[in-house]
Order: sequence, then C-alpha cells, then structure tokens
Amino acid sequence: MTGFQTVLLLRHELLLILAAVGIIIFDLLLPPEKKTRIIHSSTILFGAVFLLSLIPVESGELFGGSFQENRLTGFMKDILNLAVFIIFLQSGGYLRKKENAHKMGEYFALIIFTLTGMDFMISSGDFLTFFIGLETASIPVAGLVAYDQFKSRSAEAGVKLILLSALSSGVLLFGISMIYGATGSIYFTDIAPGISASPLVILGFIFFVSGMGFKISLVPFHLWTADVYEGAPVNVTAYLSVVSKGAAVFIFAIILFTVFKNIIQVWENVLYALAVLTMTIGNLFAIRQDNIKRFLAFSSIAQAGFILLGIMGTGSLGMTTIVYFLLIYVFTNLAAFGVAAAIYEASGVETISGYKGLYATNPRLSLVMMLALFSLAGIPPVAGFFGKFFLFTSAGSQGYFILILIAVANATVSLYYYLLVVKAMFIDKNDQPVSHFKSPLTMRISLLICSLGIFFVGFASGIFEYIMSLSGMLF
Amino acid sequence: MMVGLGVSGYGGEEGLGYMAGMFHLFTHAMFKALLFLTAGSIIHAVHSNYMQDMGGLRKYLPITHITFLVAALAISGIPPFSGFFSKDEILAAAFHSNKLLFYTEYITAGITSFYIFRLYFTIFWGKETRYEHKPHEAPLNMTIPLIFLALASALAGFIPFHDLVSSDMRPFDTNTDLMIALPSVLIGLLGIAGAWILYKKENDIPQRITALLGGLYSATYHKFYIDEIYLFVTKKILFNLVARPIAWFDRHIVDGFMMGMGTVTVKASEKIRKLQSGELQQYAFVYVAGVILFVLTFIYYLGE
Amino acid sequence: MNILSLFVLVPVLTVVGIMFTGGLKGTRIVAVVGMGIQLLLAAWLVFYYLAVKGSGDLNEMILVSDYTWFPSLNIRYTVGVDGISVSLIALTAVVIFAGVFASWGMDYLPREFFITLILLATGVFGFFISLDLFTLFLFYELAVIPMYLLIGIWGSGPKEMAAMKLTLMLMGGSALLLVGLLGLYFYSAPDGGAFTFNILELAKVHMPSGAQRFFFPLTFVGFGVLGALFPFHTWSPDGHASAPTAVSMLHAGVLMKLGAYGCFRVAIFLMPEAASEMAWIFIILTSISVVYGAFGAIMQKDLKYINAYSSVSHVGLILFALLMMNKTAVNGAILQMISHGLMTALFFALIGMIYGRTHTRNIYEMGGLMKVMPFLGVMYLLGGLASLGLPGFSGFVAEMTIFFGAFQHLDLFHRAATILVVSSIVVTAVYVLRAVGIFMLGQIKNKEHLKLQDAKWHEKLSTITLMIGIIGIGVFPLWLSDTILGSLQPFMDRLSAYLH
Repeated sequence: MTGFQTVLLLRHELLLILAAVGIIIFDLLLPPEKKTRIIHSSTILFGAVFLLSLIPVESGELFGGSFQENRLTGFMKDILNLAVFIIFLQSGGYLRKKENAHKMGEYFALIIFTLTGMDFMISSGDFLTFFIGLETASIPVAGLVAYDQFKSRSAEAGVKLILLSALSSGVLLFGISMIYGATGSIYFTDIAPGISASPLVILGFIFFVSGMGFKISLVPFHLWTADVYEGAPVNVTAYLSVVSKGAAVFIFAIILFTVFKNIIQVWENVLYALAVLTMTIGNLFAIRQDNIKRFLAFSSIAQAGFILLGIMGTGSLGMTTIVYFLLIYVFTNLAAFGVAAAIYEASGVETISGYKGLYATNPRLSLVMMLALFSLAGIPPVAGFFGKFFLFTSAGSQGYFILILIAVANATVSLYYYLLVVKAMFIDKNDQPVSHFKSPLTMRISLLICSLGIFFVGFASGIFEYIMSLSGMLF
Repeated sequence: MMVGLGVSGYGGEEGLGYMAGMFHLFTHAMFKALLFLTAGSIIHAVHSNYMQDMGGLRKYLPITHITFLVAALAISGIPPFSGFFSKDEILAAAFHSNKLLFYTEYITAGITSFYIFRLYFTIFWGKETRYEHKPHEAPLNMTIPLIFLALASALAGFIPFHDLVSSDMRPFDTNTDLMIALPSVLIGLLGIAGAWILYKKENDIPQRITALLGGLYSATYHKFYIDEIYLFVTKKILFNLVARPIAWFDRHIVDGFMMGMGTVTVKASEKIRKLQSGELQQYAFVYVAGVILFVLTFIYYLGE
Repeated sequence: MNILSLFVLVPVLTVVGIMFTGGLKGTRIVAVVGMGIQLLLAAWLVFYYLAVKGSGDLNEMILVSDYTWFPSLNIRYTVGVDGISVSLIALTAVVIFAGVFASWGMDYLPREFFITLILLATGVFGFFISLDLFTLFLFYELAVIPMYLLIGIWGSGPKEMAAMKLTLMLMGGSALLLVGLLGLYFYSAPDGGAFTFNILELAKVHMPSGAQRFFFPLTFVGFGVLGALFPFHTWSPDGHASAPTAVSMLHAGVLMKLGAYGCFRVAIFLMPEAASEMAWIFIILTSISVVYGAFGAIMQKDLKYINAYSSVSHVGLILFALLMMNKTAVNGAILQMISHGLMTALFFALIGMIYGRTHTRNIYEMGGLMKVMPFLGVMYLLGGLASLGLPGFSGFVAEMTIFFGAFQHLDLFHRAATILVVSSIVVTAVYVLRAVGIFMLGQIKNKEHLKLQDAKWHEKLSTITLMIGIIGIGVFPLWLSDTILGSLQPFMDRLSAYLH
C-alpha cells in the first residue's frame, strides 16, 4: 500500500487533525481584538475539510487491520462532518459573546478533535482502536460541556459527564476484556467466529452494551443526558445529541452486525428490552418538560429507542435505515437546536412557555421549528416520516410486529409533546412574546440547509438507494 | 300508526314485505314532513294551534291548501300519489302472509283517510271563523319547500325503486294487483267521503254521533290518547331514558376513557419526573443496577 | 406526465401560489382558481371514466401509471382510479370548492389558513388516487395532521383540547394502521421475490389466515378511527364543533370517508378471510355507532354537535354496510359516502353561516330564523330532509340500498343488527326535526336576530353547489350507482374466491 493510498484512506482523520492544529495556531497568532475572525475562518476551513473528504475512496485497511475504511464508513463520517459544519454555522452568535473572546479557538479545536476520535472509532478494526477513539471522543466533550465557565450549571454538567463517562467506560472496558477472555483476540475479524452464547460472552456483551448505551443514552443508562444537555451551551448540546450519539450508533451497529453476528438471538432480545424501555421512559419524561433543551434531550432519548428498531432489522436493510435515519436526524435535530439557539441568544428565552406567540413575531423561525418537530414526530411529507417508516420496516423484516406496535404507540405519545411546542408557537396567545429579531447570516444559512434537508432527503429516494448500495457491499 | 303499517310489512314474504315497509317508511317520511310544514304554515297564518280557531282557510292560503290536499291524498293511498304505491305493496305483502293483518290494515287505512280529511275539511272548509287579522299566505321561503315536497309526494311513487335497491338480485315482482289495490282505494275514498259528510259544512251530525257513541268518541277525540302516549314515549322514554343516558355515557365513560388515557400518561410523567433527582450518586447507582439487572436476566434466559 | 398526478400537483401549485400572494383577497382568489381547476379536472375525470367504461374497457383501474420510487424496498408511486375512487374524487373536489367559498371572510391569517386547508385537500386527493400502500399512507397522514393547526389556530371554543384530542386519536389510529400495512407488505411474497405495497398485486396474494387475524383488526380499527367507529369516535363531536366551517365540511364530508374507503379497499379487500371471520365484532360496533350516534344527537344543544353525532351515525352506517360484504350493501355504502359527504358538508357550511350571523350555535338561543334568513333556512331544512332519507335526495337512495344489501343476510344476527340500524332512521327524523323546529320555526327569541341578513352570493354559491349534488344523486341515482357497481366486481370475486 503506497503512502498516498494510506493518506486517502485516512483522509477524514488527517484533514480534521490538520484543521484543528491549524485553528490552534491561527488562534495563537491572532491579536486579542481580532479574535472573532476565528469564527468565520474556522467555519470556512471546516467547510473545505468537509468537501475535500467527500472524495470517494475504495475500501481498504491499515495498521494490520486496526483501521477499516470503506465507502459506508466514509459516508458515515461525511454525515458527521456535515453535522459539525452546520453546528459551526450556528455557533457564531454564541461565541461572539464577550466572555468567550479568549477561548473561541478552543471551541473549534476541541470539537474537531473529538470528531477525529469518532472517525477512528467508526473505522476501528479492533477493540483497542475502538476504545481509544471512544475516549478521544468523550473526554474533550466534558470540556465543551463546561464551556460556560461562569455558569454553575454548565460546570456541574461537565463534572457529571466526566464522572459518569468514566464509570461507563470502565464497564465497557470490563466487557471488552471478558470478550477477549472468551475469544482470545481483540480483532473483530478474529473474535466473530469465537462468539457463542456462553454466560461469559453474554456478560461481556451486556457490559459492552451498557457502555455504548451510555453514549447513545439508552434507558436505563441515560440519566446523565437531561442534566448535561440542559447545562451545556445550546450548540454543544446539539453536538452531543447529533454527532456524539450518531457516531456511537454507527459503531454500535457495525460491531453488532460483524462481531456479534453469531449471537443475533441474544442481542436482539437485549435490544428489544432496551428499545421498549428507552422509547417509553424517554417519552414519559419528555411530556412534562418546559426547558427546551431538556425537552429535546428526552425526545432524543426516545428517538434512540426508535433507532434500535432499525438495528434489529440486521443486515443491509438495518444498516441502511439507521444511516438514513441519522442523516435525516442531523437536519432535523440541528434545525430544532438552531432555532432554540437563535432564540436563546436573541432573548435569553429557553422555555417552551416562553415560545408562546412566537409565530406572530418570528414567523420563519417558528416555521423551521415546526418542520423540525414534525420531522421528529415522523409526519409526512417531511423527511422524518420516511426515516421512521423505514426503521419500522427494518424491524418488520424480522417479524417484530409487537415491538412496532409498542413503537407506534410511543410515536403517538411523542406527537403529543411535539405538538405542545407547535401549540405554544402558533396557537397560544402571549402579551409579551419574544420580540422580532434577525439572527446572524450564518445561522440563517444553517437553518436553510436544515430545512432543505428536511424537505428533500425523504422524497429524494436516490439518497436512500445510495446508502443501500453502500451497505449492500458490506452486509 | 302509518309507521306501524310499515313495520308490519316485516311479516310478509321475505324481501318483499321488508322492501315495501322500507318504501313506505320513506314515502311516509315525505308526506308527514309535508303535513308538518303545512301545519307550520297554517299556525303561522292563524297564530293558533287549535282547530276551533280555523276554518275556511282555503281562500286565504291557496298554496298551503293545495299542498295539504296532496299530502292528505297521498297518506290516504289515493292513486297516483306516492302513498298509494307504497301502501299497495305493503298490503300485497300482508295479503300473501297474514290475512288478519291484511284486513286490519284495510280498516286502519280507512280510518287514516277519515281523520286526515276531517282535518282538511275543518281547516280549509267548514265554518269561517272571524279572524282578528286577515290570514295571509306564508312568505315564499315557506311555500317553496311546501311545493317541493308536494311534488315529491305526488311523484315519488313513480321512482323506479326496485331497480335501485335490488341492483344485483332479481327485481321484486311488484305489479299492482287490482284485487288488492281497488278495495284499498275504495276504503280510502270511503274515509274521505265520511269526512266530507261530517265536516265539510258546519252541521250537527258529529254532535249527534257523539251522543250516540258516547265514550268511544271521547276516546277517539283524544286519539285514543295516542298523543299523550306519543309524548310520553318521546319525552319520557326516548329523551330521558335513552338519549340522555347515552349522551352521559358518551361524555363520561367513552370519552372519559379516551381522555383518561391521556391524563394517566401525563400524570405518570409528572410522577416519574422526580426520579431524575440530579444527584450523581443516584445516576451511577441506577446505571450499575441496570447493568446488573440486565446481566442477570439475560444470562438466565439466554445462556446456553 | 400522468393526468391523475395533476390532482396532487394542482393543489401543491395552489399552495405555492398562495405563498407568494398576500392578504385575504389575493389568497382566496388563488385558492378559488386552484380549486376551480381541480373541480373541472374532477368533472373531466368523471366523464372520461364513463366514456372509457362505455367503450367496453374491462380493466379494473384506469389511467394507471407506475413509477419506481424506492427500488430496493419496491416502494412505488402507483396511481389509478376505478369508479369508486372517481366518485370520491368528484365529491372531494365539490366539497373543497364549496369549502373555499365558505371561508370567504377568513380574516385571521388568511394565507396560512388556505395553505393548510389546501394541503389537507392534497392529502385527500392523493389518498384516493394511490394504489400503493406506502403513498396511500403518506397521503393519509398528510390529510390528518393539518387538522391540528386548522382547529387549533382558527377554531372556536375549547379548540386546543379538541385539536389535540382529534389529532392524537387519529394519529393513534394511523399508528395501528402502519403496523397493518407493514404486515401486508411482509406477507406479500409467500413464494419469495420482492415484497410489494401495490394493492393490485397484494390482491393476488393469499395472506396466511393467522397473519390476517392479527393484521386485519389493526388495519380496520386504524382506518375505522377516522370513520368514527365506536368507541373511537369521541374526537368527532369535539373536533367538529371546534373546527372552522370549511374544516368541518372537509373533515366530516370527505376525511371520514377516507377511513371508510380504507376499511373497504385495504382491510376488507386484502384480508377477506379475517374480515368475514371477525365481521361480527365490527358489525356490533358499527351498529352501536349508528344507533348511538343518532341518540347522541338528540340531546345536543349545539348545532355542530348535532351534526357531528349524526355523522358518527351516518358514517357508522357506511362501515356497517361494508361489513355486510355483499354487492348491494357495499354499493350502498359507497353511495352513502358520497351522499353523506355532500349532506354533512352542506350542514356544516350552513351552520357556519348561521353562526357567523347569530354568534351562537345553541339552538335554544335561536328561533324563527326562517323568517330572517329564508335562504339559509330552506337550505337547512332541505339538508335535514335529505339527512332523514327523504326520496328525491341522495340519502334515501344510499340508505335504501344499504338496507337491502344488509337484508340479504338471512341469519338472525345480521337481521337483528339490520333492524336495529334501520330504526335509527326514525331517531334521525326526531333529531333533525327537533332542531329545525326549535331554531328555525317558532318565534324569534332574540330581537337582535331581526337585523340579520340572508346569505351572500358566495355563500349561496357554496351551498347550491352542494345541493345540486344531493338532489342530482337523489334524482339520477343509477348514473352513480352504475359507476360504482362496475368497480365492485373484483371485490366480489375476491371475496367469493376466499370464502368458499
């Protein structure tokens, strides 16, 4: 394998590292009064990274199989890049605040470093690379969560995340070591044939699931989610709920489909229970939330439950539906968080009751929010409908009709709380609604991108078929 | 009563009696509605509900007069009005199945035409009451439905009913049977004639008959108390004992259950909110407890 | 370009057009033009269909066209119509056209109102032309969800609660439906090969009876919720009462038929074995719907509640007839769909107009309105007479046909149910005449009402359009019933093939 091919296979990771280092150096060179330039330049730089990484590259492996790159993993990384790009577009307003002036560079660099960790994790070919990627993706996030250094909630959230994250990593590592003990290898390709439904493997597997369940926020491993989402700055919350979770779902599905394919019966049962718990508890908690970030946190827990249904379809259909769903989820959730961020920066309002009468003053933001909520609820004709329908189709292909029944019942409950937000914005009257404001250009661009995505990703069947062809090559 | 005639059609030859009953139910709805509206028009003109306040109205209310007449002829089963056709079919059906029913229906048909024409003659002919205000025809908006319904009552009998309702079965054989139709029409005419004699001009024949028959007349005067029974049935039984409980049941039980599902969900949400305490130790505890629970469950159930 | 797709495209373009206009006057003109084109298209379709059938075309569906959408899942955009869908499309076009006129004076957020209203109509049209269950389901949900905004924003009374209840119950129904449709999909290829959502393809497949028993109730109830099947009808009174006029018209007039149509075309047609096995359960439920709705209407004071309960009763009758599963009854059911669609739309339009003048819908606060607004009064009365099944109106034809079909079942159970249901006609007469007697006739109770004016030209246009349909069907029923009957043959063939 030539050096150039290596570089090509590692294009996402290398470009990200270069970008992060470049931003740090640029940050150092900039005089304090011109620090705000870093916002636009980082965003543009990252846009370039995103575009450059899109080059299609055939699959291959590096470092003796520790790094696996193929078209599908490349596509997953592109999705994450896209999400981070949108988040950067949305971050301008927040970072421009005075107290953030000295640490803008860190924001971008930290996010890009964690993203690199996720990319390595997705491409991992053994449990070691996987674990290192996972940790690289987790620890700096705690710093991001505590970014609002003058807010006690933010700091508290950072501490909670790092401590619980350590606990979950410990459990995860414990699980990995048991699987190593049972099979004598850390390489995925070597482990797979040795997996059987022995108590030791099941024990290891459940520890592994608990660790991943923490990242994906599956019930009962989800308790950190609401506090951390609420405490963190909106953009970081968006990052956690979309990118962090997305990456974890991708690698979780890959490992289930490849490493644990011998014990499908076992993990489908485990996922069945987790899916039911996650959807139901997530929904029940979401109903009575007034803080929009907490609300979106619980809604994203419930969404994770739906994703599990897709995973249960196994095979290329299962993989396709979850990648497709997460692509839609990027647009959808970032639209919702984008609107929440825009409103918070303009007026400091971050409660649903504060959104009352929003349509009268800020009709466009309300419309984007409504689109996003409908997409989350899975209402046609927006993309969320297609995403969710295909997740259910995936579960149906394995005959889990009762589970689908539970899921659709939950989807109906979720519609209730999404509609509560719509009701606040469109129906409820308010004497002092959030006054009219104009959000920054980058924010408007990001919301436009999200809205277009929400509208067209569903109808454009080509995207789904493309993902299908990518995952068809693998499974 | 006429509806009773309709319902008795059930006893008849399988589909035929049923069809006839239905047919009559519909034509009956039509001319009853017409009578109902003409009554409204008359009350509108005379400002009174009582028949003793009316009389000789044919000059004042020409349209109401004609339309009422059409309805009356239809209900008496005089050809070619719609009632004739439907009633004829019922009688035919009854004739083939139950003779007693058949004759009863003949007689009641006669009584019907008698009482309806008694109304007709008393209101539109009879003595002319001195009205305080000169009665006048109702405005156009009231007369148009009258005319419309009158036309319908007159012509509905010609609707090719059997083709409509038996689209994939053999059409019912419903040729008018002269042996049944003729007596029926004659009886109807008899009733009309009786009413003519008694009520067309103001005279004392009714009083004399009353004296003769005594109690029977006073019972019929009160329509055998059918109005009271009718009121009792609709107001007391239908409204109070059926409709009101159903409305209550719908609001409180059925809808209550549907709303209850929502309320319970929201309440449950309220209750479990407190489980999320914000305490790190508790989170860690739940996490570890969850792991252990899962491990125990699945090793027990799924281990080989 | 398939001509049927225009039925979706025209409303979508109308919506886009409205987005670029402002103010009440501009938007309503765009809406009228768009829906006028839609009405002409529907009229053309009816005549085209008759011409094609007249020339001896024996295909089950005409104007079929088929595009692949998601090839890997074999999801297709397949459209086509038969006599049943043609008549329902015509109904929808008439009702939405009348609905636009009924909302002529919508002054609060008119642009948003017409956009949402026409989006809803898009869903309905799309639903009726779809032959693929995926698109069918997509359009179905698209038709339901705008209701939330329409009731929530432009409604009256306890509108938030009503809107939420209606949306959740209907979407809950569609959730059940989703499972049913997935079941049909995954049992569509018993001998291997690609799964399909295509109704015509599915009709050739024999689904295992065990699976039918699981998926039929889900599908039937799923659609049945929209058809106000007892006990899932409680969204109807509140929802209809709170909704703005045009929305009540469209919802009771057309949307509830979506439920009935789905029950017929998907649930019963594709799972006939389970349908005939479980029919008795649903016959009981629908009989309850019919009688119960009628009795429920008796005690109501609010005109809209009266009409909403009456819709429960009438649409219950449609479902009841479908479950009789013979040609006559099903023919009657579809006649009743059209007839009730026109009738109830007329009622809601009139109620809206009366409410717009008197600002009350409580019948006890009104009286003698016939003298003040003769046009509206006469129309209401005619509508009422049509509702209680007077000959010469559409309701009579439909109900008679249904009762005949139902009476072809000779066993005690069916006969008892039929007789029970027939008795509801008497109850219908009671509640219709009671309401008319109280608020139309008699003395004027409120002196303020003397100043009220009769219908304006757009209101007359709206009601007369509907009335023409009602009388038209009443006087020339064979014309419509032939259109429907021709399309019922495949349904009967499939039923007899699986049940004997």
